Amino acid sequence: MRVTQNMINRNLQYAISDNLELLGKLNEQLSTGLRVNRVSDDVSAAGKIMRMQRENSTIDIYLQNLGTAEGVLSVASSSLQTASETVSSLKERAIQAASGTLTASDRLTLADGVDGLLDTLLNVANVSHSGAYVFSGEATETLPFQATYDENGDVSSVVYAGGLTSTEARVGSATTTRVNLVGKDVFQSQGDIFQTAIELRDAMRADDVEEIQRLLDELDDCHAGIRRAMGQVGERQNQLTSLRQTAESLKALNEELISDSQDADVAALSIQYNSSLTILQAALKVAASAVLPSLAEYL
Amino acid sequence: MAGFDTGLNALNLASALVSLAGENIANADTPGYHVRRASVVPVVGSSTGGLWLGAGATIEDVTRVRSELIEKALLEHVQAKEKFEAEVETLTHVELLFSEPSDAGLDARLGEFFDSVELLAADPDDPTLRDQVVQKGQALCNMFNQLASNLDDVADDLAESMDLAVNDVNALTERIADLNGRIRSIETSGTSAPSLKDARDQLVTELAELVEVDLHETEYGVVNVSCRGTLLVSGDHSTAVTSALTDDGWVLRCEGSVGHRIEINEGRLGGLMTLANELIPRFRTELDDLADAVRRSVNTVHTTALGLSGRFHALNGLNGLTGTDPFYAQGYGVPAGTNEKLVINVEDEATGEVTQYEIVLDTTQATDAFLTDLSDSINSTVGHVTANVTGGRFSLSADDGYAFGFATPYDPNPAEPGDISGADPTSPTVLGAYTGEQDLVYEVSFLDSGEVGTDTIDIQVNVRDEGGSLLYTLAREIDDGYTAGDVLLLDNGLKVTLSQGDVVAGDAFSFAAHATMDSAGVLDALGLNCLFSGLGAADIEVADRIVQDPGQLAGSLHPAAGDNNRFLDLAAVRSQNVADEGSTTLSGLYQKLVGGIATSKNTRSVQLNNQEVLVQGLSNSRDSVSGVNVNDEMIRMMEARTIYQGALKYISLLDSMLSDLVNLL
Repeated sequence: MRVTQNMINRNLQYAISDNLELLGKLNEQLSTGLRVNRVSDDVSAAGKIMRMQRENSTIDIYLQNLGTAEGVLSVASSSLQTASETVSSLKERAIQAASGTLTASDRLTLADGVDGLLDTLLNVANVSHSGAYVFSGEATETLPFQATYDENGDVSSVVYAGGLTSTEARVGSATTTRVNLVGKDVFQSQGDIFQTAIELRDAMRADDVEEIQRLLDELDDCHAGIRRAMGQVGERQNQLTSLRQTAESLKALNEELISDSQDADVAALSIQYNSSLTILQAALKVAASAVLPSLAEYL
Repeated sequence: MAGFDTGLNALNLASALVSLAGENIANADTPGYHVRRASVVPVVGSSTGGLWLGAGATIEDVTRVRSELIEKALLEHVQAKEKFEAEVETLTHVELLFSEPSDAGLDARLGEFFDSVELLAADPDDPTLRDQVVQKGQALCNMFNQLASNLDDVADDLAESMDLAVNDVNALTERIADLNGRIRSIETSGTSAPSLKDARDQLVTELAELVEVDLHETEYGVVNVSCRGTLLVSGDHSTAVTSALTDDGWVLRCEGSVGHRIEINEGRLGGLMTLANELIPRFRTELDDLADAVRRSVNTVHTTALGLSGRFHALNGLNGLTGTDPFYAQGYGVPAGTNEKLVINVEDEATGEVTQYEIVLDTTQATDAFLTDLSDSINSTVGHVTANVTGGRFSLSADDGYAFGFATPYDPNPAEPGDISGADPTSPTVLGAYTGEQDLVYEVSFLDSGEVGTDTIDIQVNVRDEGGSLLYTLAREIDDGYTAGDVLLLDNGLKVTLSQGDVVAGDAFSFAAHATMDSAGVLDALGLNCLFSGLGAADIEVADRIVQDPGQLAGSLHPAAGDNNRFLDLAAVRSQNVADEGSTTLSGLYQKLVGGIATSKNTRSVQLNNQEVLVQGLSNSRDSVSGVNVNDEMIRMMEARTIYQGALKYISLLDSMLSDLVNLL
């Protein structure tokens, strides 16, 4: 084949620009630390990366929702603890009042104590967390336990005005958790603690020992109800902890997968970069001396 | 003496050969130059003493050395290379517009929008979270608007590039025709015009970079140029082309072509036309489809939910729909159906009593008739609500003391007066989010008489389908352990509570549970209680009503601040196959779009690379035949010099011979 200077020049030019393009690509990957900088770098990996990135931002939301639910549950848990202690105190007073050795005036004094405990219970049951009532179900803005007072300023009845279902928050791709509690189920399902306390106070004032005896049993039922709710809250707290762990490890796993698909293998790239650079240098050297000697020099 | 002529001819020949070599060397780097070779022929002399001796040699013609085959192949691949180059250039630009994979792209905006809904669902009455949902929604819409306008800009740029390319084509064909004329006038006189031919062939190569060309060599060195069967250059006459936007997209028009248009595929102009007619409109349509899928799937949930202020007193449709096209063909994704349903709840605000009305829709009706029928049937059947159509916009308003909504999928207080005949009748309330997949009717009957919360009462629930046939029966029982207001679980997420009061054996009430309140999604099309509005990626936006008051973001089934049922449904939209006729998720459709752009670019990059290698190889082959090799020319110069030296010797010898002859005298 006849070879002309032009052909040699063209081949050199093509080889050098090809090599520079590769170097540019390697340089981009090395400087960003990413193998996939555009979708066209690796269409299937880019799709995977996008899915994983979105999944992780969703997991962040699940973690935030878990935080919200955990906050509410810890308030609920300590409130229930107080409620349980208050019911114990109520029981102590009821046992005292039931004993035959007490006088009617002793019972009156005890009745005032019971009235105070009833207020405590109301406060505990109407507790709110960041502006939302904890025991009001989905009606987070409605005071759940609304008391009616008689002419003496004593509580005469307590009515539940909250929602009957609780707000569910998503804490996993297929898992929701109840954020708040339905107060009716906690305080008024296994015996109505407020009604019982009111009746206990009134029985003490009326000096009705028989009634006090009967109410003692009811107090036990109420206490069992509150303790059951405490158990449920504790169980949900455990569940949330394990959900948090799952979400966090899933997130870490996704990050690893993203890094696997997207991150550049710096060691391999460096070697490739060096070898391309060597080839480019060689090509440039050849180009510099590629003006072939011609007959002209010998004539 | 004839011998001097011979010598003179030889001297002339040698210097002409040296000039030719010089010209070749000077043009070693000229694009389109073909090495020239002289065809040297002996000069016919006169007869000298019966001998026919020639009178030396002379150059008859100077011709170009070229291989027809290689040049043709080169032209073909130049066309293809230029086409792919134009396509790859624009596709690289389009890919950059979408800036994926990153946290700055549309996918991230879409994810963040649904994330913000998810957060709001956990705390539905938080005003900050509501604002955030609105802002994320706006960011998503802005991204759609931005991408749509960027793609439109690309289409505009393409139109401009096409204009420029068409001008270039016309300038080139004009010059080719002109050169053809000059070549013909030279070659009819019998000599070649290699320089003009080189100039013309170079122009033809430049033309091939723009459009696909076919060459037809005719007599006297004239080349006719045609593009897909239409003659652009015929002898010294050229025909101008124009580009025009028609219903089929951009076309190249030319007088004398079939249907006045040329279907070009290759060359830069071919690439630009493919981009402007196929690729960019395809990406634009896919973007529109995605925006519409986002709008429709989000609105389907949002329109059938309630905001913080509960049921509505008035709603104004955002979309003016008119004309005689069927309602389903308005572009909002409404299915064609003759038995679609819209359920409207009307609440008496004084009592809280809710009444449900079901309206049957025929979406195959003409739009005007559909709207009139819909407003007529609302006005005639739904109490306390007035419908109005003005300029295709549908609006609803409730009488004072009443409100309406499309959220609660059942009558929450189903007992009609007289249903419960106890002395102090109990009043049942239905709660919960209905999860059933078809419309069902729940008939609840009390089998015993007594007081709720005191007596043991058996309750039977017959569940029937829409046609009235009994599907199954549930049995429930309440006794003295039941406190008024406690929840009785039915199924499909439904619950019933009974208030303090009495029932009599045989008392019964019933309610219908609707799987969907708006089976054809007409609320989205009418623009009633929408979160997003606007058709396509360029026009999608967060409805003004929501921007003004984020409290109108609807996520409840019941008018209760903490009811987040529909927010949960809204957040779940992202993982549902709502796009592309239910085959993929919103994100999936988007990934298909950007993946499609990247794949289009990659396949073309590979083809471009192939063509570049081929063009390079063929250019080398062409140079191997037609290129200038300086050494060749050197040798030819040495040969010429030898001839020149020989001729000089010959002349000097002739001269000596003449002198000898003169001296003899």
